[in-house]
Amino acid sequence: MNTPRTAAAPDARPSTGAVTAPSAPPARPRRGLSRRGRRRAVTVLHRFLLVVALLYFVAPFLWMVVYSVFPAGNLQRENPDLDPGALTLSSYRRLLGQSSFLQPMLNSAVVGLLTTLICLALGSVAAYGLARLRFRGKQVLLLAMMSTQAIPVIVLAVPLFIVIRTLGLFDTPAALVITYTAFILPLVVWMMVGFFEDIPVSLEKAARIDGCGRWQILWRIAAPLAAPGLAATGVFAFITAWSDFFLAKILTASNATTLPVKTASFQGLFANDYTSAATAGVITTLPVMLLALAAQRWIVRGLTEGAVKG
Amino acid sequence: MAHHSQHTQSSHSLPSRRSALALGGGLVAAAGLTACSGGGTASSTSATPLAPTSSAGGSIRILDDNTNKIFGSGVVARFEKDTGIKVEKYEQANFNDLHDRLATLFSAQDSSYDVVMTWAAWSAEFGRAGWLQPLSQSAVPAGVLPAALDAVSYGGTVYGLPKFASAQTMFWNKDLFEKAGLAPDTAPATWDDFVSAAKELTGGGVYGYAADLGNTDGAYQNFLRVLLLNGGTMYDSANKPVFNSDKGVDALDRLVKLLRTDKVMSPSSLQITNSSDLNTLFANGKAAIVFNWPAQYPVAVAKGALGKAAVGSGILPGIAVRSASIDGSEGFAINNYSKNKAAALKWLQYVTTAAVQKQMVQEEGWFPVTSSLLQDKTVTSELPIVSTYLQESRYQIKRFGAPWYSDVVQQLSTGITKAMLGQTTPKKALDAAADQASTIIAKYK
Repeated sequence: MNTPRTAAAPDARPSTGAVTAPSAPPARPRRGLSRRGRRRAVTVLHRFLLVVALLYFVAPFLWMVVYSVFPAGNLQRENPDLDPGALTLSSYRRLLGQSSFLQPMLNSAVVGLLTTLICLALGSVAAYGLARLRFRGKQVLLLAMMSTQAIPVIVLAVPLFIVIRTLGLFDTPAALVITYTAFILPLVVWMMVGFFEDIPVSLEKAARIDGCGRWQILWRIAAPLAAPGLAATGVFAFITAWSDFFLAKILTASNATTLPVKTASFQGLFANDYTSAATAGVITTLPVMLLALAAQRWIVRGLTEGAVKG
Repeated sequence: MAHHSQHTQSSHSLPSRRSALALGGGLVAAAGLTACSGGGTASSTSATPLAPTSSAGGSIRILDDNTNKIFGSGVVARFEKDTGIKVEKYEQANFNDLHDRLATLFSAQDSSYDVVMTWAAWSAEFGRAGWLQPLSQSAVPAGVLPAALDAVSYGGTVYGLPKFASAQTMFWNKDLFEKAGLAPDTAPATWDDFVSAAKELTGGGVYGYAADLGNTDGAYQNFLRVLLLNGGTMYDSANKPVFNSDKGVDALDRLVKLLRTDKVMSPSSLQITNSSDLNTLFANGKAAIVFNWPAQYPVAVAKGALGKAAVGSGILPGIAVRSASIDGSEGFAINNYSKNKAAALKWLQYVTTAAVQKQMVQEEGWFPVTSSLLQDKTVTSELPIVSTYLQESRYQIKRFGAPWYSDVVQQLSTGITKAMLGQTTPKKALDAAADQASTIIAKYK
């Protein structure tokens, strides 16, 4: 409707001639911030807190980066000299040119990837079974799997060492893959069960009507739908295997040493090679960060899907 | 040697790594897993002291820390040639990782290594556990220094032989002494002399004194040194902690005063976690006096640093006694599950020979392990601070290695750090640490 607007005040009402209650007193100017101003202040506060939180988490990493690109002499003084002219990547060139550093990198990559692949393959099958099949003791089985996580790894160090040695696998990447799989698989199963349970059963019923068997349903229907969950779980499995220090220290000597153990070795008894340690730290952290960034969309989707059960 | 524990201080209620590993070992026994372990295990151990035999042969495997380079770069080859014993493996591992690796190997009754590196705390811990082979007196070469032998012994039993000797001595910057109007060639003989010299030397960005109090073992070492200089001791004859005696409280009080009252100790001392950083601080002329390990000397006299003429070295200044120091010797011991102990003993003895020890002095700057070599002219000319160690060896040099070393040191260092920061008094800090130490030690009885 194109009714012409009057010039009346917004609260002006048409007069009916009847006695009416006195109109509200004219609005007084508000003290303090308007609603818009308040909203803006809250936004600024949120962002400020976000920056503080971000700095809190990122500062140690940034300082590690600084240590890796500045000569130690510039930093180990009362007032660190952060002259950009002193920036250098020489420690990266040096470490990445040494086979004694590249081998642990390769070991970590092989161990991390193999562990992740095995955990995802076995874990998704087991999780699907637990999510879809009905059998006695299902909950007990799930709880039993998680109970293994309650045992401190350090207590298992000696038995693990004996088993690995007996198998002739001491100081081999296989020793770490087997051990990490044993520790990570229950968690992968636990996480994946939630993702599979979120997939509507009707889709699988439809697939069954179309002639799909259990395996086909798993690989053609359930697994693709649970892809965000698989990504989130895979990143988790990889990070856990990639960053382990204690078991790698106990189960390897020189051939299968991994990056965290190699990084720690720069901290010696009589001398700390801070630059090498920081450089190795950055190199160790980067793949994890890149992986997390690349899979961020899937991780967030996967985690939220797994968290809320419909 | 600065055995710096890199562990962070954990909550009291949590089991220590040591006790957890021991528990792990217990689980192994309970599970009977050892019965099915393969060729890496030995069937029995021996408590009978091992004596040298002339028929030693075969092969050995050695697990060392990464302190020394001479073994891998020549000594092993010469040993093989001289004795006919093959060294199948000489492996070096980071010191900070070695304890857990050794504890795991021993708990699993593993015989992968015949010879392992040891020092005061491990000789006590692993020796008491029955994991190291006791040696007979006839296996100990003549003239081995008592302090160095103490580092490979526990409770009167010798578990190994030292590979080098080490103790802390005093280093001072003669140029800074001269600049401050002090006699550059005269070392402070008493604690009071040291404090007054440090006061004169402090100023213009230079501190009279600096220390490495920044980690667990560093804090302990700095306190222990003053405790010994004050005539105190860590434990009585029944292993009751007595470091909180009047002498102990006075010792910590003196340490605190250096930092907080006299302000002659570099504040960076609380952040220095490694003796190498202390080496650098002194070599850069930022600290006039340090009490440090022998490795300080080559760093200080290196090209671009202070130079030989500017570095003074002397025994530590006493409080109640003329001097004393803390020991940092390292050695080798024989795995009690080894299948070739006779050959392993040959290696231990070979390392103490004059040729190897002289090489150690010349190439790495550690002190020799026998008294005759301490007075050898080639040795003293190569490493002038050896004569300082010879003087120091007339006084008490201790480390108080014990099976409970790490746990007690962790508690004690927490108290020391709090006292240094002014968060508590030296007496309260030491009393609390002594109570905790008593509880820890009681578990070992």
